Amino acid sequence: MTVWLWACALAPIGTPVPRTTARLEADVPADDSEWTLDVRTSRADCAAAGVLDVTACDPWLDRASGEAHLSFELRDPSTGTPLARALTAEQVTVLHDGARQDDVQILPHEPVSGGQLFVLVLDGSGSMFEGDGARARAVHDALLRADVIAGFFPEGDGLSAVLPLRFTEGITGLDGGRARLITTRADYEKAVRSFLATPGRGWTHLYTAVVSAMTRSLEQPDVAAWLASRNADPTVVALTDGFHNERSTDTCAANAPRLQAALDEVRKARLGDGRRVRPTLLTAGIGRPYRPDAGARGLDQRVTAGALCGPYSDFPIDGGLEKAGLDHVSLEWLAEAGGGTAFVRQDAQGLAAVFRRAAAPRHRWYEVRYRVPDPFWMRRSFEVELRLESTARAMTRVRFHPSRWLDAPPGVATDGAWRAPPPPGRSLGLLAAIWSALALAAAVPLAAWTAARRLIG
Amino acid sequence: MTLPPVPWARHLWLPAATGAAGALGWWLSLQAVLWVGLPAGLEGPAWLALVSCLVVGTALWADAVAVGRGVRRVFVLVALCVPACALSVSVCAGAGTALAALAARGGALDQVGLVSLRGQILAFLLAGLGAGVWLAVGRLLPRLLARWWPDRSLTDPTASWVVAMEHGAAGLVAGAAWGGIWFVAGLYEGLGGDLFAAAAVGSATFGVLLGALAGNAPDEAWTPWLRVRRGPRMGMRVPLIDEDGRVVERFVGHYPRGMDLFLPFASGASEVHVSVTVDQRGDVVVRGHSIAPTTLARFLEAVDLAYDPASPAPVEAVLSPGDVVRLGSVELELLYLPRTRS
Repeated sequence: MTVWLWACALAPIGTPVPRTTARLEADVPADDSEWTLDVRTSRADCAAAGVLDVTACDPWLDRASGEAHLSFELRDPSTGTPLARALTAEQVTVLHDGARQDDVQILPHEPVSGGQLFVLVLDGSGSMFEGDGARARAVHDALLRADVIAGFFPEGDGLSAVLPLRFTEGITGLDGGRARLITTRADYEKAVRSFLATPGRGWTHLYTAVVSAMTRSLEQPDVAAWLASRNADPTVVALTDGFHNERSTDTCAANAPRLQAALDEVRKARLGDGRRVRPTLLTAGIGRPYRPDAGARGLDQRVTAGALCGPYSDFPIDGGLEKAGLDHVSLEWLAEAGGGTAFVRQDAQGLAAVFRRAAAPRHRWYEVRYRVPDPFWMRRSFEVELRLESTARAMTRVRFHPSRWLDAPPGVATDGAWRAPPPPGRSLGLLAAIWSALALAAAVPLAAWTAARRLIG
Repeated sequence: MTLPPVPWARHLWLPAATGAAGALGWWLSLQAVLWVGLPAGLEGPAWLALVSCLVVGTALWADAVAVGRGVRRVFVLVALCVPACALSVSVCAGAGTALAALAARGGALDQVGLVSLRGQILAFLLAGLGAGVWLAVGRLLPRLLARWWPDRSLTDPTASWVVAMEHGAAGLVAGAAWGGIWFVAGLYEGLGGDLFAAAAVGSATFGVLLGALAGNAPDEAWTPWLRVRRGPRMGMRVPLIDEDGRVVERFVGHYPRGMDLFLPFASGASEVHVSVTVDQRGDVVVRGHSIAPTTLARFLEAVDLAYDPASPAPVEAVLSPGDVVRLGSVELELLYLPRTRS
């Protein structure tokens, strides 16, 4: 019995979490993750990864405030190579014992200075230039905003380039000529201006253009060489104002098999084995969605006419559905397959935000902080599930075991809403306070006795 | 170590010392978990054992100092009891937690990180009981060893098996309070809701309670003394209980023969001025035998002890620590000192 008890007591459970009394088990990534979301569960993990800010990298648990901090990085599941990506809190879901948490913060660490290629795939069809060409001008204005240009060409960086493309039935450079890789701000501004100066016409082969931008454009000799020389990651931004439309008799249902074929190609381009370049796809629509309540149906779902078009399967696109708005469902589906996000915006300012998002700096690793509504939830072992849902599908689980008996000093409030580990010596302060109180209690009779003697004289 | 000159003060002094030991035990345990990384299953037993053994060790030490034992012998006593206490409490606490988990098999109590009074109170009770028992053993040990190691300073005349049982019960009460404070103060927002401070306060409370209920030297271990506080022969003192434990009446005056506390004539003391003794209720009383001015002064009160020739008996008053008896240019006061120092 005694041996069994000692065996139970000494059984190793996870790794001690620095500056806390909790322990943390190794993370268990989900088998079907497209990328590996690698949680660092100990200081040794952080040190082995060579991170600069080991303190921020350490996991931490503050049971008093119900706060937990973890850090993670993304890795290629086949090669184990770290993947630097730009992530925001909206892209990461945190579940505490299966309950989704709302109070979450994502902090990027160690910006990556490696190159980035932005492939802009702009709709050059006639609808963009209809009327006074307001949509084309909005795109033009957004692309020429100083903050967008600064995002595409960071000051003193020299590691970023833009490959601007326009598409109708085929895919060309913005001026209708050959696509050229642009590495300077001046060339970029010139190319963007040529987009407005070259009114387009023709059908909108959106799916074909996206697939081409994700594959063939990146295989052009000059582009491939540039990517290889700078170890760069491509980000494709596809922008349209309507539907994929190849002929006047096309109905919405006709697009379902075309979209499915395009999705297969996009997934292959992003996730196929042995690929050195894995582009990310963001999609943007300018205008209004034609059926605002609908969206892409889940993850990895086959495209059906019903799912894509709802009740409008047999409606013609040309002169019909395209008058009602843009096909945001296709955009969402494409973005989901491309590991990005779909946006629908109405003006230059909104589009600029999309481009800025595409040009957001990438970071080597991220710190995720979350706070449960009631610290009571942390008075037992619990599981934290981290899900990455937009850039790629990745999920991992880690299990915290707070101590059954003791707690470390609670965190201290910082300038922000989050707490930080307390400085060393906090527990010594409490010990000193208790000792002082006890000494005071013990000294009272002596003090009273002495005072009485003095008063008597 | 300076002992408080008032007997009732030990009711605060000794619990304060054991409470401080309990808090120290908590702090050391926390440092062990934070910096050494104890195995999860050992955290609780290590905490309970460390706090218990430090409290027991401090109580035994303070107890022994109070009755005036030699440092070397006190050290031997503590060195015998404390490790045994630590080992037995850690095993009992671990067993208590495991038994609670076994009893709730299939429930949540076997979770590694679950904070639950139901799952852990048994460990606290066993830790308290163990501490109480080992404190009793520590107090009985000198009597048990007396046959082979005769030493008057090691023998505590008040230790008995009844006292040992009281110690066990005191340990249970202290353990229950420890667990209760740890859980309740660690859970409810209004009471702090912080397991960090709750564990510290619980440990200190355990020490205070065990010290108050079981760790004290009894009244019999103290002897009242009469001392010259001011004037000629300042610092001179006489015990009110002799070496055989009998109460004696001490006479103070300038009569050259037979005075227990002689004071020179020039001090203003009469031949037989006052006497001091312990009455049947255990109170120390002072009696005035001289018509010369004699005053008992205490806080906000003065008693005239001068002898009234019309009265059949001398005036007497209860003398407490801190009171001053003034006769001539001399001031007398009452002190309590450990019996073995007499």
